[in-house]
Amino acid sequence: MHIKFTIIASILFFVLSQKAVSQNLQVKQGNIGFESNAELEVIKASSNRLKGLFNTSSNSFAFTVDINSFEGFNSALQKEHFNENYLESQSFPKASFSGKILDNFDPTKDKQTLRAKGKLEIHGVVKERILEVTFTKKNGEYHISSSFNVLLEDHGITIPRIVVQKISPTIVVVVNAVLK
Amino acid sequence: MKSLYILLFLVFVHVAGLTQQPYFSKLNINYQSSGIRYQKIYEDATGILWIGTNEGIIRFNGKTSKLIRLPLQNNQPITAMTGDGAFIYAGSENGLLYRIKTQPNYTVEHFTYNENAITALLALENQTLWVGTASSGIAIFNGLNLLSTLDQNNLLQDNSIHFLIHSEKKIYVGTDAGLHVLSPDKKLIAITTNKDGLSDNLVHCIFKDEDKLLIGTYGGTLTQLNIAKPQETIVLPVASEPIRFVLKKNDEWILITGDNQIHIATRDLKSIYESNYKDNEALDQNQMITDAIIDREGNLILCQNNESILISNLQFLYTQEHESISFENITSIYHDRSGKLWLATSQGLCYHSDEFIPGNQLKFITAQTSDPKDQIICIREDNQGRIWFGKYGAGLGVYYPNSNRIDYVNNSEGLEDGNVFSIAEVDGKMWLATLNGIYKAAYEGNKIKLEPLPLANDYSRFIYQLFYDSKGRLWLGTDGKGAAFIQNNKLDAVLNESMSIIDITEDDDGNIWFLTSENEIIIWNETIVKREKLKVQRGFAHILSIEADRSGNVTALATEGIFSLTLHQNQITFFPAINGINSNYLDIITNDENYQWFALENALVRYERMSLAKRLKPLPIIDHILVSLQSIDTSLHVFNSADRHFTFNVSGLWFKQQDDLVFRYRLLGLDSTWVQTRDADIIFPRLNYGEYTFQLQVAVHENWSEATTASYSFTIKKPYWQQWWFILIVIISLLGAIIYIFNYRIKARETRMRLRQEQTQVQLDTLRNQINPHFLFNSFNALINAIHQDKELAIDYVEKLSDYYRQILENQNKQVITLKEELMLVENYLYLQKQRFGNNMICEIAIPLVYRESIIPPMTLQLLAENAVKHNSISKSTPLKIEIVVSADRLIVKNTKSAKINPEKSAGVGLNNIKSRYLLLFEKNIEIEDTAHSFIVTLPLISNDKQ
Repeated sequence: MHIKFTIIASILFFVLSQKAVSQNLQVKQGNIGFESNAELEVIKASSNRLKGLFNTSSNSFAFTVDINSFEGFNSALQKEHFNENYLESQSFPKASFSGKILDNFDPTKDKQTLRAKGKLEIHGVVKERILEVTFTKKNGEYHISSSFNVLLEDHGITIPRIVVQKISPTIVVVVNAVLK
Repeated sequence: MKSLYILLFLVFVHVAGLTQQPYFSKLNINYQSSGIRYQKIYEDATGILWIGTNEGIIRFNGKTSKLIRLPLQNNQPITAMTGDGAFIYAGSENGLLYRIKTQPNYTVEHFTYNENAITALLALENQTLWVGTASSGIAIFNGLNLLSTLDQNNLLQDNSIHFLIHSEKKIYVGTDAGLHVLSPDKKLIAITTNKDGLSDNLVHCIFKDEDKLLIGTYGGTLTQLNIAKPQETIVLPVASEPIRFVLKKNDEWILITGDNQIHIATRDLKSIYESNYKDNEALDQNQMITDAIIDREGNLILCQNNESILISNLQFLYTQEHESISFENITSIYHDRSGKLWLATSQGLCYHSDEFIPGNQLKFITAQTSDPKDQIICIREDNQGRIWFGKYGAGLGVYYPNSNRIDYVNNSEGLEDGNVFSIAEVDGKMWLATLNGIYKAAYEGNKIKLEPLPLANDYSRFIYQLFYDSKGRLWLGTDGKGAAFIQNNKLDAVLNESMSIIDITEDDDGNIWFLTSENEIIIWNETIVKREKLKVQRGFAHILSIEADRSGNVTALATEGIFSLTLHQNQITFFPAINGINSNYLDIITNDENYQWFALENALVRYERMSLAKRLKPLPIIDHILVSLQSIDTSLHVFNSADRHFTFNVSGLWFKQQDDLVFRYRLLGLDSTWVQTRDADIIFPRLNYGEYTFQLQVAVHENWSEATTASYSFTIKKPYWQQWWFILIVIISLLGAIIYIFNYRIKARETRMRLRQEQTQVQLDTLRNQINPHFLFNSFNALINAIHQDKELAIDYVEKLSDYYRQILENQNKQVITLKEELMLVENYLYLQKQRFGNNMICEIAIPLVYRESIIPPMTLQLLAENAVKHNSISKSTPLKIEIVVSADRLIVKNTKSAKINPEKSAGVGLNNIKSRYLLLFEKNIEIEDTAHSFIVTLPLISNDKQ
């Protein structure tokens, strides 16, 4: 009980103090999409419900998305399979990436590519990754974009042999977001 | 601008250099497990390999492997390993730190700091271990706990640590935020980041080379920091992938990048090239290289994430193809004075130079030809810098580098058959060896003029080799006529046997070495110094060519391996070339300043020769010793006599050539002859006490001359029953026992003698007493009285008298009789006496039945009764009362006393006799109480079973 209180208090303090200095950039509008380019089928899906924060003073960030929110599959059945069989979104409803920007973030630059190192959690399996992110400054907002590969094997996602030719073992993920 | 200059320069050198690669083969660690992934490898100070896997730690001693399982590992990868002699440390991806004792039972302990992966380990001399973690900085392990004791102000606390090295009291830490330098007491000394010239802040690996630090980064660049002169920082772009390992071999750098490419850079970083994976089947480029080390032998050992450990002998780098030119079937190779490497390839004659040549590094001077006659089989530079080359069947060519022109000399110019096997330069003049004798070539104007050298008619016309030695002799290797030399226009044959000499070289000591077509090497120095064939596993080596290597050795290139030879010692350096080592040509070895080059059938090989001092050898290992089948700590050297069963578990470390290792051993103290074996366990089942030294040697193909020896001395103590003190104690106690027994025997004998004497005395006394006339007369008087008065009584009296005498006779020889028998005797006696004295004598005998079976020396009571009768006056006024009773378990004989007027003479013999008999027989005293009115003798009652 006591511990819980401390945690809540510290979170509150953290949030409030951060707000006071206003160094948090928040995802105003975010899109995350993936593409599986397999021999027999190309599967694409994306979600607009990407949430995230980037603290420019500590260089730390956190992004998350609901697995259920991905749309644009080739069929409704495919989406069902995606949620139930592969990503098991009931057990693992979110995918997330949180960590630190390793390179120096320069708020004055119009365009910069930075390396973000953090823990990528998909399907309940955490992998430490370094991803490259491009920051573009426009009208006081930051447009960020990143593209990276996810190996299904890395995240314990197994594909039934029968559909091996329809799903690529490497999934390309593209993220675009506006931070303010 | 300056950095731009450096970058440009490096982009240029990036394409320079001959693409060479290490040749990998699988290291057989004799361990079978499907699904095992080798992840980290650590070579301890003794040379033993510890391999971290998802199933535990494998200890490989060069011959056998042992898996040490780790508690709570659950198939997690091992992500870091190190050791400090006493322990091996391993960190896992789930943050467990394992500590494994190296001797003798590999006990495992585990510790945790947090759940983050352990990414780097560094053991310091003061028994502390630095533990680098993913995103939680450095923890310190003090032997008991993992503690975060680093200065709170430093940047490491939430950082990822990639690499830790220790050098000269500084600890270099590779992090995501630059290179951090700490002191061993955990104080931050310096941070180097991209602001200080570091090419990338993400430092993945570090190598310290004297005063230079080589830093491999995530961004794929290598930064060389000069600690003393920071302005001399060099940045080398290597790959677009992270540099994962920086390793140093003699004078080159090995860089392994995230795309599993192996790059080799020269020491000065001016030249770098990338291996290509063609035909290197063991190495799978799609499998992640999880660890890389250079071992004691100079091998590069890689762990690949696909169940294999790869090894490459870095003394050799090979090229199969360069700029699309195949390096297979190079027919001749030559290194000229200007540093050019000449190669006779199937595409034509070309040279390679380390100088930067725009466009094409291989410069061809002749065109490709498919005619075997056109193959160039020997190349030589003359003193004018011209390159002479001989063809298999199409004459001689001379290349003029200044005018880029070639002159040919063939049959029409006097070169019969057109074959040139070897070219030698003698004082500026060129000599040619052909199948038609020897030619001298000299310039007449611009034209080459050939002059055949006259040879005796019966001399061989087939000359294979020409060699000009340091003493000015031109040597000839012939077919079937041995070797000869020409000096002052005179030919001297030195090896007269009908042998063919296919190669000749001279070592640093002026010995001439010959290779015969029978694979024999003959060393000559005015006389034959040595001749030998080189032993290999089965039979003898098939030698292709020999050549002095300019560092004191002679290299013999054989199908089975490369032999590095000196006059007295041979060493095999193994290169597991693709399809073995093979070549059909004679002129296939050349030396440059640093290396020796071989043209093999399928590749060009660069060989990093070893100076005599640096020649490495297989290392014999006495790995475990079992005494009485129990593994012991090898610091023990003294054993008890019961420990007679010794097992030596042995191995040899020579990873590049494990399968060719042979052991031999001996146990000094038992047998000083060497015994050869390939077994890992050498057993001595029944050793006697003594001092022993077990010696082990290991060699490749039984080349013992250079073998190093491992030894273990031990002592088996004498058994205690052979120790002097024990023998002394035994002798003393034996002597004591003998003396004791002797004494006892003497004593017993004495006792027996005395007893016998006493007995005889008693018998005599008794007989004398009984035949005492008084007694007889008195008895007879009594009898006469009885006859008159009572016939019945007389008869009774006579019966008793005879009973009495019979009993005396019966008992006289016995030592003891029962009290019952004695009482019968005394009763008879008293009866007889009572007939004499009537009521003046009162006898009371009251012995309970229980005592009647006790024993007594015969005549005891009889004597006492007799004494009572003898020494007292018996009358009506002084009646005699004799009592024989038992009181307090003792027999009491009591009589009243009244002095006789005329006392009978008594020597006291009877009483003394009783006394001494009791002493002798029972070791007990009798008590005698002599008062005015009574005489009491108390006798101990001796129970019958005591006898």
